[in-house]
Amino acid sequence: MSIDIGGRKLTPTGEQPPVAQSALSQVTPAPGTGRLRAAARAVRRGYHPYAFIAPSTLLLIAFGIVPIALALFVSFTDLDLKGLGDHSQVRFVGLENYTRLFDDPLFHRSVLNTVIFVGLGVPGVLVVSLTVALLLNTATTRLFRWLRALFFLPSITNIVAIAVVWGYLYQTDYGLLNQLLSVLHIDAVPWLDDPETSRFSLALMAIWRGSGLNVMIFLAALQAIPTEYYEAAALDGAGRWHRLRYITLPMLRFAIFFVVVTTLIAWLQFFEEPFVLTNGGPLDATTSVSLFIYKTGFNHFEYGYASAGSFVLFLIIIVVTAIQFRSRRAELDA
Amino acid sequence: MRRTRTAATTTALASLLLATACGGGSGTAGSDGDTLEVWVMSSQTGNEGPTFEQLVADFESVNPGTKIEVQPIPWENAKDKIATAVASGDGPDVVQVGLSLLPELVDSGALMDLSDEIGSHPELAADRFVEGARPTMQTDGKTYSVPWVTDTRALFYRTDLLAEAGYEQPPQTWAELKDAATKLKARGGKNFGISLNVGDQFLPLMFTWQAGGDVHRDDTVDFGVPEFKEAVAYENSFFTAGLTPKAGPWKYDEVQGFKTGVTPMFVSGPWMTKAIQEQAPEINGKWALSLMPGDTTRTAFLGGSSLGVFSKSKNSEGALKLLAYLSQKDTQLAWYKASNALPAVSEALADPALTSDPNTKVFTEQLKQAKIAPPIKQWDAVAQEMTRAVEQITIGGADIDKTLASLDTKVSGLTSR
Repeated sequence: MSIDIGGRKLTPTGEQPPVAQSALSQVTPAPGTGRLRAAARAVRRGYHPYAFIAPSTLLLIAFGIVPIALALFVSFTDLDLKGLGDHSQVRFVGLENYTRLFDDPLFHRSVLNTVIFVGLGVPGVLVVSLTVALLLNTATTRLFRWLRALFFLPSITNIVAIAVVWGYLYQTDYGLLNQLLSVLHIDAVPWLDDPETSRFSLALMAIWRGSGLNVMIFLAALQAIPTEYYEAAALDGAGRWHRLRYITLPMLRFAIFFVVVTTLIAWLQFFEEPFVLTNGGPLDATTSVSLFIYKTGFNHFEYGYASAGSFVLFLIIIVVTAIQFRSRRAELDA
Repeated sequence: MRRTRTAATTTALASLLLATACGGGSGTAGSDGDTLEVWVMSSQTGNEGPTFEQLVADFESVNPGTKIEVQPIPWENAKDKIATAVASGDGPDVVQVGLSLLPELVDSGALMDLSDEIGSHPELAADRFVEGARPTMQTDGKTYSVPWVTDTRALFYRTDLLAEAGYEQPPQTWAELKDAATKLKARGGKNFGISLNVGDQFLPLMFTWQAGGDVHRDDTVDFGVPEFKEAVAYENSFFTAGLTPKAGPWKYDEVQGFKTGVTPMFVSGPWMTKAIQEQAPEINGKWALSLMPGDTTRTAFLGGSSLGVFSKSKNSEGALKLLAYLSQKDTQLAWYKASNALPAVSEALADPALTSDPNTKVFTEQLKQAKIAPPIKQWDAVAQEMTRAVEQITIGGADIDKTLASLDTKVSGLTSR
């Protein structure tokens, strides 16, 4: 549960997620009995909304705000395992963790890796899931319903199971992928052994895994487009491409925005794939910022240093998300 | 990839703090009275929990009224669980700790000083344990833990393929190992001479010891020793000559390579004998084990885990009794039979139950000349830097002198912390 809230905390303050906006605007005070009208008045007076949001706000504070505040606090200390057991051993070190972070080549490396992962992953997920959704939307036969379930499957499969299977596929000497390539007389690809290749391999696996959910989102959005638009366009002689370009894509604008924002946040926190498959190697080519934080905190017990790292990542995510919302607003205003 | 990782990590960090705040001094380890809570490490596929319960059933019948609660902890979660226990003060009475974590845990003050009580239990005398494991027991002259199980490395080789290459006996020295690998590589095709695992932090350590040096000195580590450079250069020579696949541990399937003969030699631990027997029965009788080759010494690495008493335990007397029971020869042998983990008590290691099996015999012999990794609290972070440097040299082709110099600077930064 903290997870969802954790994701939501990244919404810049004062910015209502557009979903909520449209949902709210549809709620009109129902005309009817006096009691309902009184309730509507109370809502207008502004008490009830607080009652409704209180549970999620409390959870947000407990599992979102408080941990972030604590992490900020810890990032100015040298907290380690010894300090956990005995608080008198914890020292304030000021900005030392942050200066160390900016001098740490491994942290630089992990930031660069994360940028590459985002650069590969976000367009990858967007294109793959949109394409699959468009293709799946062409029919509603039993086969297509079955295919829909099939495409969703990677999203709900345990990452460890996925890692085991993909680990076998990617195996350089005995893996299935290279066996298939050898049939075509193509040399073995060092999927996870070569630093440059391994980033692509992990991104590929993550795109495959991350697309299923977004396919569902796009399918839902596609089905919400009124067929009249297409009929009208067809009458005007618009071909397939024009219908896609001038009706489908504009109508999917919000869905695309949503997918881009959530996918970007997810990929900025790229963690599980390198964690289970490469442990950040070879030569740190797949060490993402999240993996760096995890290793620092939970393998080396440098909680202060790890907190500084996670705070920097947190700020990056906030800034990136804020920029997206801002450009979205500019687009709407235009 | 989950959007929540940082949030989850932050929450985990915070909950540790909260646990400390709430736990404070009021935390109680284990349970009251005559109950002993024991944390046993378990592998993913392992059955260590129930097996351990059976092991201590005898102890319970000899000590009526004492109840032992066994909690299996998966190795992957060991650090999280132990950190939480340290933070909250709410831990078990007896805890199994891997050797790599032990120095840091002792430093944190989470383990009880057993120096005064240990004398009254002859089973816990240091000289009963295999020599290489004895240094793990003490820090600054005080005893904090007792060895429980051990682990080491040996050379696996295909007897048939080495015989074809002119080696009726396994290679004994560095020169012979290199020569054998070169001859095996000369078979041509996709064949290699050996599979050296660069991700294994113990390989450069073992080579350093075999060259007659040690990176551990004066309670810290020094990668400037000439033998370390010699070790890395030796390891690297296998890579530059193409004698070993350039792949990490989690990627290269050593069992497959061994079965097909592509990599007819590799260095690994006891668990691998079982894996080969099960996954490659067709090469039964065509492979054997040997002590690590070496020039000055044939030292291998000694790993494993120890048992300690949590400092907040209310039943330290019972906990020590349990440690004494677990260090008895019969208990150690029973655990070996149940779990396949090598014992830590010399007497048990010399028992025919182990030495009658030729493979296990090699490991028991190797244990007699095995050393632990430098017992410093920053070892995990240091080992990661060391492995990274070795990887940069062997796989990345980086310059040895420059890489080792920057490793030295980095490590002094880490150890001075």
